[in-house]
Parts: sequence; structure tokens; C-alpha cells
Amino acid sequence: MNSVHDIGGTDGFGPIHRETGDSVFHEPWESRVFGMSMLGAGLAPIPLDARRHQLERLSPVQYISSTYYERWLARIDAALVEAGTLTRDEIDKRMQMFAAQPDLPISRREDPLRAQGIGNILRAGRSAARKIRQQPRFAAGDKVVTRNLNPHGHTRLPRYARGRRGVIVAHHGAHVFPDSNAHGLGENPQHLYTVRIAMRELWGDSAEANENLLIDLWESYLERDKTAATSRALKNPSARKKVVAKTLPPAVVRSLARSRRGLGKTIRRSR
Amino acid sequence: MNGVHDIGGMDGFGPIHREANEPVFHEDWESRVFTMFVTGAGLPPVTGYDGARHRLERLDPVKYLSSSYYERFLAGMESALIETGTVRLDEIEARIRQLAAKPDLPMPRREDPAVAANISALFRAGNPASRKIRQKPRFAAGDKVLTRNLNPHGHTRLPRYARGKSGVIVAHHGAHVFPDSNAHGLGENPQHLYTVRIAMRELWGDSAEVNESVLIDLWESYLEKDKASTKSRAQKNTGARKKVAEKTLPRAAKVQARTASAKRSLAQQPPSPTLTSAGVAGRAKTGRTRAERGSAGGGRGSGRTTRRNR
Repeated sequence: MNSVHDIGGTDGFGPIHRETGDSVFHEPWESRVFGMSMLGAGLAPIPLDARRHQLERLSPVQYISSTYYERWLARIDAALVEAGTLTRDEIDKRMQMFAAQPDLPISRREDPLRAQGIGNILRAGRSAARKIRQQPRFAAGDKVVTRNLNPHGHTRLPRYARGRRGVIVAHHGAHVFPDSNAHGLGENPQHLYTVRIAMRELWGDSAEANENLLIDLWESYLERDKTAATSRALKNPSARKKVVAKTLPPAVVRSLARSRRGLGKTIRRSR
Repeated sequence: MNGVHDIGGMDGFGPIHREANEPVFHEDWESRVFTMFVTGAGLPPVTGYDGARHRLERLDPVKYLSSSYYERFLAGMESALIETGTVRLDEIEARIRQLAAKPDLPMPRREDPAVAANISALFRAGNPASRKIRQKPRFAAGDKVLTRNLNPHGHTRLPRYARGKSGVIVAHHGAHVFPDSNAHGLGENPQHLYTVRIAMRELWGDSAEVNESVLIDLWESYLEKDKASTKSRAQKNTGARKKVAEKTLPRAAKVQARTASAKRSLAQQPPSPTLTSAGVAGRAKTGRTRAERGSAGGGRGSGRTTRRNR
């Protein structure tokens, strides 16, 4: 969804403050919110993609006025209300009770086995890589155009990177597709690529000339760049000359005409 | 600037509530804020609405999104008063606390009937942004254009969602003050202003409605000719024009285009010596002005059809 979380390229948020030090949590409550989120907080278990989408669906003002773990807590609140486990009123009342009586004992449940299980998962990590039969549609060097997708659900294709030309830099095998997985519509793993997009393609002529963005994008976000016929032509030597004559400056074409073997190399350089 | 104010295409704000019989002001304080705004609130005069609009854009994003319309007006004035050094934030806050503690405290009041009369005269007369310039318009109705991918840090009237999109010129409105420079005190630099039609699918991809389009008013420097399309070239060539019209317009629109061009050819016949009424002379004059302005005399017919084709 095109929400305020999709902040790439947005002005007005002021400078970024870099913190020195390496504290994982700034306050003890943050570690508790982290623990609650990992343990599911009494909610039906959902994948990471779905939890991210819950964050995106927070009210825009709440989203941009909250810190990282405040958002996690707000997500848990919202999900508990949506699931009917608690009402907003019950949450508010409990908060008022604690505010009035700070020494009130906090309810506590110990479950060492569960805690250990979570600890193991965090240490081992949980890969989203999957094996699929389908061959990758693109290879490193292929020119692509990102699609202009504006889904109402979750997506990993940010607004600023839609409808842009880029080049495949790497193929990472297949990965769980967040756009369907976030909505309980299955993992539908797809090939995942790193795509290089020039800053000027993203932000116009006022951007730096020699800078690029490297962004990981799923296969269905991409289509072949039909205006760049070079990748097709490279596979077909007879069509190659025609394409080169159309897309490269005349001086380059003349120098290439002398040596057919040089064509592929030059095209790669001219990208 | 690409601030949170540039809300076109954004999800997540919930339903739009339409008020029945919406009043001009919901609270008394709103009318006072409005008046403070138009009388300048003790600030050096900013360059028209453009500068004032940019102030609103520069509000803190949370403040912007959590404020109502006139709350933003007030916040914009406060931040400007602080920026110019007229008052400090703690002075504003102290005054708010003072008035909150003693609601009956008399408000300072200054009467200035001359300024008040001026302001209301200005409101009645309007303050148009249209200007006369010598430069000819670069585009005419029917021309295919591309909006530029501009991402200025300052004010602009080209929203993010409409950048780098192809569209068609629907109307030319003459020259208007250019907000992108005027907002920053860099001069009015009037430019030709056009209404551009952009298809919803061009803006939002294949999931958008097929037959819907956005009509958006854009300044000339936001636009470039769409080199990928041959339509604008063909329009200068009367022979090719018909072909293009047949290819790109629906059948009903084509019929209208033919009717319009038939009418035009009648209107362009040299007026006979017996017909010298003001009406005919006026029409001939209009035809000439249009021919001078547009890149082609045929711009008129296709422009009208395009409008129906919306």
C-alpha cells in the first residue's frame, strides 16, 4: 500500500541522528515489546511479512510520530483489537490503572521451553529462500523496467522505484513472495534479483550523475526493457548489427564495424 | 519538496467524510486565524499564496498530518514568526499558558479600517495569477507531452504521482505566475499553463480503471514533448492529422472532429462583403488569434474533441 511508511524520497523529516554505542534496546520496555512480538502476544501466528503489513496499516500520524518499538507495540494493540481478543477500551483502562498505581504487580507467565525455542530461531535465523522448478526469467546484465504496481496490500516495491529502467546485477534464487505471504495467500516463491537503477532515472536531472541504487526486487515486479533490445540481440548475431546501429552513437558503430567480436563487450560497457 | 502534503495516491487515511452544509468556519478562532493570515500576522509580506503554501509544506510532518486546515494556517504563521525572529517559541507558549489560566483576560485589539477595507476589496476583486508574456506557447491542444521527473527541494505544483508520465494537452490557459520560483521570492517568471490529460493506467498501472483520466494544470517547464509519439509532429501536417485522429480517438469523437473541422472551414472562408456584422468579424478575429497561438489551425477542432473524450 502507498502509505506514509513508504518514505523513500520524502523530504521534511529533518536530519538523521546517528547514535554512537551499540545498545540493542534503549529502554527495558522495548525488550519486553520485542519478546511479546516474538512470542505472538496471544495472537494467531503470522509470518514476518504480515506483521510488517500490520505496521503499514497503523494510522499515518501514529506511524510517523512513533519510535521503532512504539510501532511494534501499536501493531500488537491493533492486531489484538482486530482479532477481538481485547477491546481498545480494555487496553486504555489497563493503562490508566498502571498509570494510577505504578507499583501494581505486573502479570507474569514463565514458559522456559517456549523461550528457548524462540531463542533458537533467532540464533539460527529463518531463511526465506526456497527451491522452485521455474527457471529465472532474467540474468545478470539484462535490462529491465520495474512495473507500475500500486497494490492496496503489502509490497516490497517502493513507490519511487516504480516504472524505472534498471539492470539486473545479481540473481539470488527464489524467495518467499511477500506480497502474497503477507495476506495469507501462500509463499509463492519467486526469483529474486538485485537491480541497479541510476539515480537520474529515479530522481531526474538534478540527481548525481554517477550514483546508483541497488535494490532487491522479485521477478513479478519486473518486465523486460523492450526499448533496450541489446540483450536479445546479443543472443542473435544477425540481429546484433541492426540494434547496435540503432542504439549506439555513429562513431561507436563505425569502430565496431571493424571487429564483430568487439560488439558484446562494447555494449556491456555502454550500459 | 516531496513532503507529506503531497498526498495524491496515498493509502491509509481512511474514508473521506463529506459534511452536509459545511460552514465556512467551524469555530470562531478559525475566522480569526484566517484574518491574521490575510493581513500578514506581522510578518514581512510573502510572495502571494505560493510562499504561504510552501510554509505549510515545511511544517513538521507529524504536525502537518495531525492538524486541521486552519490549524495548519496557524502553525504556518507561528513557524514563520519564529523563523523571522519576531517571536520565540517559548514566548508563544507562555502566552498560550497565560490565556489558558485566565480565559477572561482581555485580548489585545488593533483596529485598522483602511487595511480591512483593502483586504476585502482584494477578496471581491480577486488576485489573478494570469500574466501576459511575449513568448509563444510551446504546446497546443492535442500535443502529446511527457511530464518531467522533477524533485525540487522547494515548492512545486507538479505532484509526485504525475512525474515522468505521458499525457495530452487539453487546453492552454495563457501564462500564469510560476509558483516554483514565486514561492521563494525568485520572481513571478510567468509561464504558459496547460490542462494535461493523463490516463489513470499511465499513473497507476494496469490495476487502474481503463476509461478514467486525470486532468491536471501544469506549467510549461514541467513538460517536454513526447518524442515517442508522432502525434504532435503529424498535427503540423494536415494530411497526416486525419490519420492520427482516426487511430487515437474513439469513433464518436471522430465524427465530432469531422463536424468541427467542417465548421472551421466554413468559418475560415473569406467574409463576403455583405457580411460585415460585428459577430462575423469577431469570429474571424478569434480564428486568427487561435491560429497564431496554436502550432496548427486544427488545434481547435481536436482540442474540443479531446475534451469530450475525457
